Amino acid sequence: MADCSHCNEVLASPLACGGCESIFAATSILSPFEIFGMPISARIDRSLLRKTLLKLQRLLHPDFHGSAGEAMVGIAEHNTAEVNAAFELLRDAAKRASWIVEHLGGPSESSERQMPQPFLMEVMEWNETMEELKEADDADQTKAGIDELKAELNTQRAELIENTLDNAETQLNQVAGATDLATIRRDLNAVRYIDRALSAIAAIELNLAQAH
Amino acid sequence: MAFLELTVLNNEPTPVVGIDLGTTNSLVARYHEGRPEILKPPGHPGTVPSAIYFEEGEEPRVGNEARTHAIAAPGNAIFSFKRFMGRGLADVAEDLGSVPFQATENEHGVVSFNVHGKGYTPQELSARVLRQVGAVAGEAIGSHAPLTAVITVPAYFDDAQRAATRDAARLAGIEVARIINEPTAASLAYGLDQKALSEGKEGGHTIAVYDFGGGTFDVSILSIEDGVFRVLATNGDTHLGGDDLDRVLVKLAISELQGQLDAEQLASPTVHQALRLAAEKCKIELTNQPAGELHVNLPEHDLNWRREVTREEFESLSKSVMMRTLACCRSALADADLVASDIHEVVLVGGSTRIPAVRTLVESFFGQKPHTELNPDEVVALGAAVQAHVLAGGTRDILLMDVTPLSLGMETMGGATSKVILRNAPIPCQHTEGFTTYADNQSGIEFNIVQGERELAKDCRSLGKFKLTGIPPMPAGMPKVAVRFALDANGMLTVTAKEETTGNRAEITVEPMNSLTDEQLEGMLMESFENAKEDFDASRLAGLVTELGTMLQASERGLKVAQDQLDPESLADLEEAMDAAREAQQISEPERVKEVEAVRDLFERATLPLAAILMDSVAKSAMSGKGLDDF
Repeated sequence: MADCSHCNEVLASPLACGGCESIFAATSILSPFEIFGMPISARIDRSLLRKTLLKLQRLLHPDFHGSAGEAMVGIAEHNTAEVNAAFELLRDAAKRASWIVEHLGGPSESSERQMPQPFLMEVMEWNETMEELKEADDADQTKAGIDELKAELNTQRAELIENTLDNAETQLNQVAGATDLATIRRDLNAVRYIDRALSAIAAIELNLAQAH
Repeated sequence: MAFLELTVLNNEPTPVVGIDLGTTNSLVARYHEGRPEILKPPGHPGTVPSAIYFEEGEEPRVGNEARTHAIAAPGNAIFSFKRFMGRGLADVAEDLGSVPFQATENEHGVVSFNVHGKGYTPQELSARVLRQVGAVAGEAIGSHAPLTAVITVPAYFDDAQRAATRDAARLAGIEVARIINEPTAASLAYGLDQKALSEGKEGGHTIAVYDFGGGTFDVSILSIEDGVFRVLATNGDTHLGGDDLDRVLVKLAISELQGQLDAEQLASPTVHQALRLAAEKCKIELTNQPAGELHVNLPEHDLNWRREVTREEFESLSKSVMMRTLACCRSALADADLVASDIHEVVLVGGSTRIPAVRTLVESFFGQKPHTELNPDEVVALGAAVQAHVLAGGTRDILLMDVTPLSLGMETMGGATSKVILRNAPIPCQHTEGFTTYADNQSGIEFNIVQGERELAKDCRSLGKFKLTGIPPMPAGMPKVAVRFALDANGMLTVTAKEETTGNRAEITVEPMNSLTDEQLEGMLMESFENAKEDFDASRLAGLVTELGTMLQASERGLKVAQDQLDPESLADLEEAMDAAREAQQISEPERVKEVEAVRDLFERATLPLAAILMDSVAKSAMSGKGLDDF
């Protein structure tokens, strides 16, 4: 990372200096990892990420630049928004892996649409189970059914995420025989299917709770 | 006066205060000597009821005065107008029943109440309350300088409602430093950052703020870590509050009064307003005692009706209203990816949390006793004052990171919503989305900006439509139109669009529906200018007269000790100026303020020689142990 142009301190982020508390307008498009001053990596220390967010917002937030004139407030507001967006991406393992796939020149979310037939059959099964749960009369039985499906989906999701992060990491390190980017993308797309199912389940749960 | 400047700073910075503009009451607070305090001038409770009373041919009465008058003549008053802020007629149909005036809507969807032939928008009504809040603040801190304020809104307020609040402040001549969310403000008031610091939990200290006010309900989940208050999720209902609990009792009264009043009488706004006031009184009684009384006295309808309501009965009638608040809590927790037992502390805000049943409900839901140490009516204003202190540059120890309550997006082909910024996204934030044309040589694209969670655009709130024109003829799908959504730290949206292939930049900023346009605002400002100028001159005059009094006293004291050292010419000048000042003290017409100002200036100059002599003796006596106050 470069040095601060004002105080020569090593910059924690291109957007702000922790030493002299100067803030800078970005001169080029910055990646989320650059903004957080972290090396590109599939695995991230969540606690460090959160602490960095708080540190950067303390330097950048427009609340602290009110007296510095409209132009500075504009930069502060823009930088804060950039940091917020970067944080939202980095904290989410699936979004982070997806970013790495595209960064390495892999297929985007929309360009890799093919999913394996057995997986699609599975998705249909979840949907059927959910329809049945919605119609069910017995509240306890419904709850048990929901919990079971949720547990199954969460386990599968966790496995997919672990795989994806490992594979993305080996791709980043250019290890020979690494899983190809298209496969990683398909795993990430599978995660999206699971997330959609999980939010449908959450809606059913909320409705149930509301009814009681 | 020259020698007073030793102890009085003339260039005090404009105070930044915190204002809670509530559905029922409004309050103002400031940060002073290390803590926030509610501003209460001597003999004044500080609270300004959000009520306006109209008497034909007279200036509308605001606040306490309006409330008092409304009890005798409920048909002449408007309450709870916060419910109409940034809303259209169709949104508030149910609430209009409690307003005894005809309501219309202009072409921008702004509601206006026709009172004795004059229209009043909710923004103007709120501005009147804010003006009085400003006067309370001015009186308490002894300054009549224009106010700068942090103003709070319900967290679940959408863009149009926030814009309406900002416009009301502008109309009241108050500079808005920031609009912040009420539950977030409340968390600041409790100083929970200190507690978070001492407990030092990994991942932060998690707080739930349950804010059940007069007209709105909000719940916010926050994490506090390293002095940063970070909102994780917020949920609520801008149409759920203590008013709904009043309404439960109004319904009870209506059903039991069927035999005594006919349908037409029951539907009359005057009767309705009287029932509402009776219901509110009964509800408050029920908070403190096991039973309350619904008492409706309408001599003109030959009615004097009493009915006892027990706590049990009230609780069973209001159960569904209370359960709706828990539904919001569940959604907020789910969005924050937490469960109720993850919450370390619960804070209660809003007058409705005084109700014992509400406290029990919250306690059992979160499994812990909520914080109730601070007055739930004052906690929001106190928190706003803390944020005002931060914005005034008073501290960098506290930082608020809030979120947007509702998703923002655009209507796509086929009427679906394409979300651009998701609910609970941290603000400020910005996002650019690419669009293109669907027909060859299409020269314009129409955008409908929507806010809300529903799948179909028509079920969300439309914030405004705009058309980007001037796209050069190209095959379908070729033009690249970038639409940029930016939410600022107030949670307010700006949308701009530009066509990028040709470098043809057409930028448009959306003016939200149900909001005043800049021209309308300008017109209202001009209209209120005459009144405002008179108010301003009157307060300026009062300030000058006080100042003259202080100067006269100081000069008299000064002359007693130093008259013999003053040269005859300066003495004559000073005595002449003092006579003029005594005369000017009698002036009471606001339009003569300039005259009094001139007398003051002349007086000030005339005191300079005396001041010089006194300064000299202060310096000498300082060595002999005497201070300025001894003169």
